[in-house]
Amino acid sequence: MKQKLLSILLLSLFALSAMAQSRDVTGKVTGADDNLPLPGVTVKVQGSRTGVETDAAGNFTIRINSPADVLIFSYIGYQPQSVVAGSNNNLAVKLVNSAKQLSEVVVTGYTSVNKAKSVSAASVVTSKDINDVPMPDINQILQGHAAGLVSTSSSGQPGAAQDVIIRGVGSLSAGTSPLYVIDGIILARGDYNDSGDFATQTTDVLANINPNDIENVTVLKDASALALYGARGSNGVIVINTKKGKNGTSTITARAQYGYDRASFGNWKLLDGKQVFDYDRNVLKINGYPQGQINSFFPDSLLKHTFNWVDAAFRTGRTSDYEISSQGGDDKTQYYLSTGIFNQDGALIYSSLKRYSVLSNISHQVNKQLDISLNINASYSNTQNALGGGYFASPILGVVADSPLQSPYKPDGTLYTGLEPEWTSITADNFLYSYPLNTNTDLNLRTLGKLNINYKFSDLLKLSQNVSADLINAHTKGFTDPTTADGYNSSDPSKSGDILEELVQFRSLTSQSSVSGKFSLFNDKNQFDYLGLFEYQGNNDNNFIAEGTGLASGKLKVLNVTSTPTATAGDEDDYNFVSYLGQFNYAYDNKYYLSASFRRDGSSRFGVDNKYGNFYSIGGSWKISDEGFMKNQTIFQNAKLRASYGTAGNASFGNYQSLQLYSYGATYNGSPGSVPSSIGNPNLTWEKSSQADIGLEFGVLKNRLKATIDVYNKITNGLLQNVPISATSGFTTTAINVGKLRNQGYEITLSSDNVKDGPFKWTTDLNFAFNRNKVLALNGNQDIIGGTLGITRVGLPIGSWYMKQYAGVDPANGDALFYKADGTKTNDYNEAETKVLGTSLPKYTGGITNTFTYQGFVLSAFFYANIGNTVFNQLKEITDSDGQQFGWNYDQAAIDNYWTHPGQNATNPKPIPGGNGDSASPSSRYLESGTYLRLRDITFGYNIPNSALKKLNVSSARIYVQGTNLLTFTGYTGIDPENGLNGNDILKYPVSKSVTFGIDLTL
Amino acid sequence: MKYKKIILTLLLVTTVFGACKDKLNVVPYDSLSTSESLSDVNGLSAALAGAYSGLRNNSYYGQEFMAIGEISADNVYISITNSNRYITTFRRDYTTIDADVNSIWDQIYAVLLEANNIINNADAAKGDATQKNIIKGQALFIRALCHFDLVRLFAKPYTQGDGSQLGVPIETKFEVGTPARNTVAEVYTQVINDLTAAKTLLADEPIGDAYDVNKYAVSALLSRVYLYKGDNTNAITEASVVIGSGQYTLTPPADLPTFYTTSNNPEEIFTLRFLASESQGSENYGGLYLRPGYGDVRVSPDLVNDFEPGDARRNFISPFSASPSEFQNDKFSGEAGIFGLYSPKVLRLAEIYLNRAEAYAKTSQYPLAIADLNTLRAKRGLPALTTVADADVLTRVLDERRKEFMFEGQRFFDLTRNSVDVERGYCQQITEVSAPCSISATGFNAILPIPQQEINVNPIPQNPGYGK
Repeated sequence: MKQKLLSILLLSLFALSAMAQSRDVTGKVTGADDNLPLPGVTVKVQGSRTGVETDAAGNFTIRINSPADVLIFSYIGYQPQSVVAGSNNNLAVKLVNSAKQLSEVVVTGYTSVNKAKSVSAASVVTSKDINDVPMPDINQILQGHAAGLVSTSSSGQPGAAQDVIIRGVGSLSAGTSPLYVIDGIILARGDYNDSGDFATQTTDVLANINPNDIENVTVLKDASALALYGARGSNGVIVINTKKGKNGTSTITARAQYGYDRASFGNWKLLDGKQVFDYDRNVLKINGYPQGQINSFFPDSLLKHTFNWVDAAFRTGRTSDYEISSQGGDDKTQYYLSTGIFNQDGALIYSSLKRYSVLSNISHQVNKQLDISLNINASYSNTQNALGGGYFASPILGVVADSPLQSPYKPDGTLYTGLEPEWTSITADNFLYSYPLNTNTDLNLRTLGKLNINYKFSDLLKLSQNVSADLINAHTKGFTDPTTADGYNSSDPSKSGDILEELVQFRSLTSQSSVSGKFSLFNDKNQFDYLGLFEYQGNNDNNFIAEGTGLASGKLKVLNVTSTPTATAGDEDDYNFVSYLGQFNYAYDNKYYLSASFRRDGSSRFGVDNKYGNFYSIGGSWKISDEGFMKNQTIFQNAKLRASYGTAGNASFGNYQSLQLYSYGATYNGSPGSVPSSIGNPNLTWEKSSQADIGLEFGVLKNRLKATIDVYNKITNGLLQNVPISATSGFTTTAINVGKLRNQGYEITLSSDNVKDGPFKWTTDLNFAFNRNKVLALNGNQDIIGGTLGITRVGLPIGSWYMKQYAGVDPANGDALFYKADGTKTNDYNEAETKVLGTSLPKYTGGITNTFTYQGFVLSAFFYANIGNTVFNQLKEITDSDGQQFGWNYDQAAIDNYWTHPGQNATNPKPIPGGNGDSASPSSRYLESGTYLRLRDITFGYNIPNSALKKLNVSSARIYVQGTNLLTFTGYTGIDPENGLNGNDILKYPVSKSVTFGIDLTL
Repeated sequence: MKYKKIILTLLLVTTVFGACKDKLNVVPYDSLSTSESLSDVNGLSAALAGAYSGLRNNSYYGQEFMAIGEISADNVYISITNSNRYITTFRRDYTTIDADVNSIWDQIYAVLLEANNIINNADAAKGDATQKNIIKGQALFIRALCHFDLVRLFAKPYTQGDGSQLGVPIETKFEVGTPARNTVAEVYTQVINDLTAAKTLLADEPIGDAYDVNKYAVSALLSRVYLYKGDNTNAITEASVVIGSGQYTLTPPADLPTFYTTSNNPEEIFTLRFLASESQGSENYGGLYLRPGYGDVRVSPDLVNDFEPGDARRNFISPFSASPSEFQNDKFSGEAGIFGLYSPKVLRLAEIYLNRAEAYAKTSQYPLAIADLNTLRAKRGLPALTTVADADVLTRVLDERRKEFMFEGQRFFDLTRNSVDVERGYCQQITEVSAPCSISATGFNAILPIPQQEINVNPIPQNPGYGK
């Protein structure tokens, strides 16, 4: 107590003496890149509460107590800056735009290169596009923000897996997803909830990472960068950097978001009760059923209790996101800490994602030689995962399978379970009863950690050791209530109810040891740097499953209470990579750059005869605008030409495919059984791609319009192909490295300051990509006819549709007609010709963002376009199938001019209960254009003026409202033209439209 | 000081390098190499269990094979509200890309490989010769069953062309090739040779439960194969071996109600066992017939009306739970307390009596045929037949087969192999999916198309009538 009193006294004395030296400092704040005045910049004296704000001309006046005082300048979208007041009374301060500052560096995961020096084609997406978007998953957010990256989803389940490809589909049978690298940690495993046993949606590889913790994402596209990742780089690499602390003032930021979302159904609409009633009766009538039978099957009384199942299955979802972060440091130690809670209740009833995340990035310079850093990113998520659309208990199926003539309520007002005789729906389950009771929960704990130690002997030699871990603990719980249709066991009611649990543990440990350095030779104009690295990654994946039935009550939720264990299972896999990497860069006169790299990769996945592979790249860039002959021209600014060529591999396929194996998963009569599980191929190896890229970067109109143009040609050789073989062998496919594929395309990225002088500003950022995919060779150049819908054929793109061509309705009898090879029509599906009919992959993708700024107001609108693909509207095979799903609900299209009498020129074939022959079999009848333009994001924000914030001790504050997916322009008649890469629209969880309100406060 | 650090770093790096050398040779935890797996008796025995589990797969005896044999015929219909299962089978309007057709073709050939690997590795494997023979004999039975089922599904019956018509490719070893279609006769020869060899190998096997094949199961299958082939004399001989063995007894009426919800009853010769833990959930065979399963497949009133008063088998049919004016099949309500679970009784004594009765009738030994029929009827709560005109005996036998094996996947083959058309007495009703009222036993669609995906990689001729 005494001590405290004393210190207060001392402090006041100090303050008194300090006041004696106080004076006013004035100055002007401008933007570093355009020298325009910045109004509304907060200016504070470090350690005091005094703060002012610049006026419209960027001028400020602030009182300081000593020339040693440090002034802190902060402004949204710009990097904070500290300036010692000194004795100058008129300060000129230039603030650097934070987004632009970040884009100056291309981070490859192994190295960071100043963009000006980089020889790579890479797209950088910065925090301004990533933060505050009310989506849980960075892969969702990346859509449309990086030229050449296609991100598409087939599910609106919060956190559901996204299909991501970079520069086209690069493989037939191996994985096509890019490699993900977070803070230098290579993520070895993608989807980590084994959805197979749970009939749920898969969880995205990045759903556990908080997008607000991300500083930037670098999408590596060309060989000069991909060769660094050798056998795993071919599909492109997405390098994610989390936020790091910066030398300077410490800040605390709080963010809060709250939003609403509704499922978006686009042009899709089902029939209402009366329409179904009329249709069902008429179908029976035109098929000659006696009117008396029809009346007894479909009495008028049915119309008294019609029900809208779609309204019951979907709700207004809510998203909330709360986060606190702090960053700062001095010249020795910097830190960034954050913690967040994200909660999204999906638009489908009882689906949600809750995520708790913590990030801690700390670095410390021990002495001149030694520095050390530790990154830890931990998150825990709880997902209520919607049952897949292929299950009768799923509302996704229920909304089409349950006729609106079937009410979910009994006459006494209670819900049917689906087991009652009066329940007529084919689902034998009332999802309104079962869905709240039967749950699928994913509990995922993911921890990414990396320790980095650098020891620098001199510029010439630096030793570095990284040890990193990616640890995943994924626990999935499936609970089936004993009173629901899925849970009730009529042959032994005491065995009703079921609990199924699976625990997946994944461990990936990586060690990277490197030497690096830089030097100059002959003179300062010849700059060299090098990197030599050894990397080992060991992965272990194991899981076990336990299941029990027999629950005394649905309130009992753990395996311990089940009366009969029904399943135990477990599995384990190992796979390892051993790699050597070397990179060498040469710069001459800061105008000419050359970069070469080599990587040797060994993988346990490959055949004994092919354990190691070598990859290399070479790239160069030329800063044309720094040449003497460019000095006098004024058209181009910062023009740079770059080119690269190199190789990379794709090793993402099953672990033991090279071995001929018997698997011991089978059982018979209590004895262990074994079955041939792998046909084996000792020569199996990675796919190898070689890619050439030429890029041009330049600015025109005094750098107000900046452009990057890339052209590439990527050829994948030794395609891993699951070649179909005669089933008489006992196998249906065998994996061999054969075949060749080409992806060609161009990418354009533009950013433009349309209006920059004055208080009103308008910028446009646009990216656009074209990709043409072509299969160049296959095994014996034989077509691969995959399943029933697609074909892989030399000369065609991957994802080509292959089915019968629909020829309309025969007016004579209402049969569906199909074209034969000779152009005539037939009603015999087997006789009709199977044809190539478009591709599921878009030709063009692009995004355009317009941002308008006035005073503190910011309006930004981001459109995404997907052009030139074909979608198979397979849901219509159910809902518009000419009576095949009689008694279900139907699409509006089903009642549109269907055939009822001879001579009628009908749009739809004659509906017959059970279906009209092959009228609903796969054909062009259900193929539609998948082209769309979507207002992916629109945000209106307001930076509250500092004058209003002063009293609250808040240095900056922003409020905003944001809309996601609010508008979609498309001719597609299904729910949503976005259907993942396979373009197959069947019983999926629809995406949502959302409106979100948010506030950011920085202290 | 500096050098110490360098040395330490180098040491660290070399340790890491050294430790990595063996990291690239990784073997799976759940599998063994094929050669190791089949190198001894224990491995063969596991492979045999694997082959049995392959027979029991959902695409084969677990569901699909039995569904095709039943739904194609006249015992059942598919409800107008249905889960879209087996409609192409009910209508017999398969496309060449039909998913059911693909899966049953793939699955039977997969089991053939499982059997072939045992047969071809048994002699060289380490272990007791008798044990090896018993394993090999069972594998030969499985190979014969697979070939027989393939030829039943994908080729015209033996009697429609005397065996010279196109059959299916015979597989006796692992090969990735383009085997041509053998003739039906060649397939039957292979089946009979395999079964004959199996009989010798299994001669000394003790007779255990019905879950493993023994020599009587071999004879039982032989009696069926001969019957299909039209070799009635041998059908009688093999049936008599089984009946005469005294190992099996027909289920009395009192025990009949639990016959299909339990396994290894004295009547069963070969049963593919499903343990409770091997339940396929909603895909259990009984789920096709009953709620809360799919309940799509309902019993035709035509079959219901076929029963004589007092027939104990009539009790397997009751009003449909969710639509009491229709009928449901209660045979497969569940085993071991698991809804819809059914261990397929592939061969049982009742069939052997009926096989022999049919062969007797076809060789004009009418009193013997009636005697066998009456043996069975007595166990089903029915009086003995006394006055049956000779011309009606075969019809009586086939009608008895219909009721005895209803829902067990025999009906369609029993009709087509005798060139009797499917005539659905209950047809085009509001309760059922629209489908043809009759299916010609000699029509193109009485057999399945060869899957187009097979023809894509193995250019064998398609069955006529299924396009090119």
